[in-house]
Amino acid sequence: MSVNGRITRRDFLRTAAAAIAAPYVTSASSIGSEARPSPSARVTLGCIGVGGRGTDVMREFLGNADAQVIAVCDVFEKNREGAKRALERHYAAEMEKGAYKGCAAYNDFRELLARDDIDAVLIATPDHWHALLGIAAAQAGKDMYVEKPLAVNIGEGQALRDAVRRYGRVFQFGTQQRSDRNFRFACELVRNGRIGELKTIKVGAPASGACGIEPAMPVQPGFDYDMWLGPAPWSPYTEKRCQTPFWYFISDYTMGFISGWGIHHVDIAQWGNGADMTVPLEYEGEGVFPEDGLCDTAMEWNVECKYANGVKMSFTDNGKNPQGVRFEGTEGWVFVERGVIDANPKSLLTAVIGPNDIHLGEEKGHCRDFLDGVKTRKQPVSPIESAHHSNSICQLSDIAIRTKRKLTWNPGLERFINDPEADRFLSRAMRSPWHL
Amino acid sequence: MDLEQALKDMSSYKFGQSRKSLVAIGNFVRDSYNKPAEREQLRKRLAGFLSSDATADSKRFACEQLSIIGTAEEVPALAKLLTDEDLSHPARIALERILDAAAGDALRYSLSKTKGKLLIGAINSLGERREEASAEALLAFLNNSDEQVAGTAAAALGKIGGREAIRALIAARSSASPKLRPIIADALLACAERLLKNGRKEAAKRIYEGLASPDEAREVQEAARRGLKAVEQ
Repeated sequence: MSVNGRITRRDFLRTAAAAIAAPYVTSASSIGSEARPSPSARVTLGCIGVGGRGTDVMREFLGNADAQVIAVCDVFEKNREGAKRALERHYAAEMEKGAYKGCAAYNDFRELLARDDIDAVLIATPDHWHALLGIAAAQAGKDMYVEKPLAVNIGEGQALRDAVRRYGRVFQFGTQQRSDRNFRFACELVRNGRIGELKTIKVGAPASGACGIEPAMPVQPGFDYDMWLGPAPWSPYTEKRCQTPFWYFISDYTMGFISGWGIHHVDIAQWGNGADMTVPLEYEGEGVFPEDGLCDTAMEWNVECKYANGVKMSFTDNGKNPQGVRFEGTEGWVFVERGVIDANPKSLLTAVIGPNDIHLGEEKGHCRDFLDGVKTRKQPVSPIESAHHSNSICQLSDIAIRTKRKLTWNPGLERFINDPEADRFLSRAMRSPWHL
Repeated sequence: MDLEQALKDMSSYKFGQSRKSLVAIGNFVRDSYNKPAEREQLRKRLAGFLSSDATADSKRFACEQLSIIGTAEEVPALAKLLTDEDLSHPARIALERILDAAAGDALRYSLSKTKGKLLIGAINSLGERREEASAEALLAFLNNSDEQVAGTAAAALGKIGGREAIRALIAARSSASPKLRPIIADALLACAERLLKNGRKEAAKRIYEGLASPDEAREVQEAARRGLKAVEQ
């Protein structure tokens, strides 16, 4: 759609995708052999958060010839300068031809989002920034790939969902297991009734860690601590606070692995159950929390959930349920984890999902799926609605173990039923000047 | 650890020390659910921390616990912290979550007592509370010379909605700076969505038609056109 008579970059990408569909919607195996599209036909990306996970995903994008990363942002100078150098090495051949304009490196995400020449962003910061960044990206007209989890509370997830819908953005959630053959096949078996009627899902995820008491210390040079904290409550700086894995286990920034890791398998549970547009109604469970030290998220948890359709889900750390997802039906079961799929009867493992059966997604990488979505304006395999619901299950489970009460959720109103105190956990005031 | 020992240790807690007393208090708070007498005692003791010589870190934690169990009775103690640079945010966490109108009153009262980030925080919290009673107080900030304050007020009014808020946002939009215009547009889009959800199609349509103007950013025009399609459905 043109605006003011101008053809926008997005119009061009969409037209190119429609006119020349085959070379762009292609399998991962042929990426290396296709000619590199011209710069104007590439999806331009800005990567916000280029630590460990951010650079992993960024590298996956670099494996797609029709994507170009032109800007990075990180509040750690060493991360953003390291990512910039890596990109310049990657694009070295284009630099030699004089075709490469270079990669910008920002401390402040607002400068990156203000650029008209960026089509989409990767958001891979710590969790407490995901919602704000996603909302800002939507308001700036950028499509987005947002690492999991979606947000640190239901209120933030709702605000991001609303913004993505309001601005019609293409959204891919970082639940990349939906682009993995085994996980998809397992869910297709369940969705096509190959284990009979689904009765129970058992989800196991790695447990959170903890660490001891840490002292306050001066902020290290080259690190914008105030920006790193962003909307989270202020606390004295200590190195481990902002280091992987420890920030994963501090509730000011995350819910711990009950969401940080758990969401991967909860998301698969949702997909297999055909429940992307809803969540379980009942939650009851308990957790084990650190008694001291810097970290305060649940190290262990055991939550029982129940869907409106009667399906029960057991969601625990991997000390109880094996790590992975086990779907149990009236006529068999299927278990799936990274690199592992098993079933009873064994014949299910070689079952064929026929042309008239339910098919979930295509055989392509998660980043590839997102790029295709940007070009065709079709939502990828992990869109905002399923992301918000999967995320909500983790959040509601965390609230259940913190309150140690049986909680019942109204999915229409997105509030608890008859528990205004539990409702208080659904949102948290942001540190000024940040707001949803 | 018994409650008295935990409260005693908590009062001197500083970051970098053992959190055992805080963990114990958190457990007492959780376990006092459906025990009104215990709950009331805990609320009073925690509120008492806020005006004592307990450490700032201790007061932060007290605010966090009051955000779970606080009532109108604890609002005055929390409200006193809204002008404190260190403790305003923890106090707002509690005041946003306490549903009683007293919390909204306290935040509105602080608007004339604060400036800069503290004022912005109070405006944000009033937006999150979504009380119509806040609309009039926030209208005055739409034309504030500090664009961050003005933008924050616009966002808050977008969450609150209502006839006066919408009228003011439309008026502000016409003379808004390039920086404020998209914030005001987003606030109006949020208002239009709520109107549409509540079946007020004509009112929503008027907002969308205004935002579909070529004067708006591409993203806003597209959002408005999507809204107009939704109105027609």
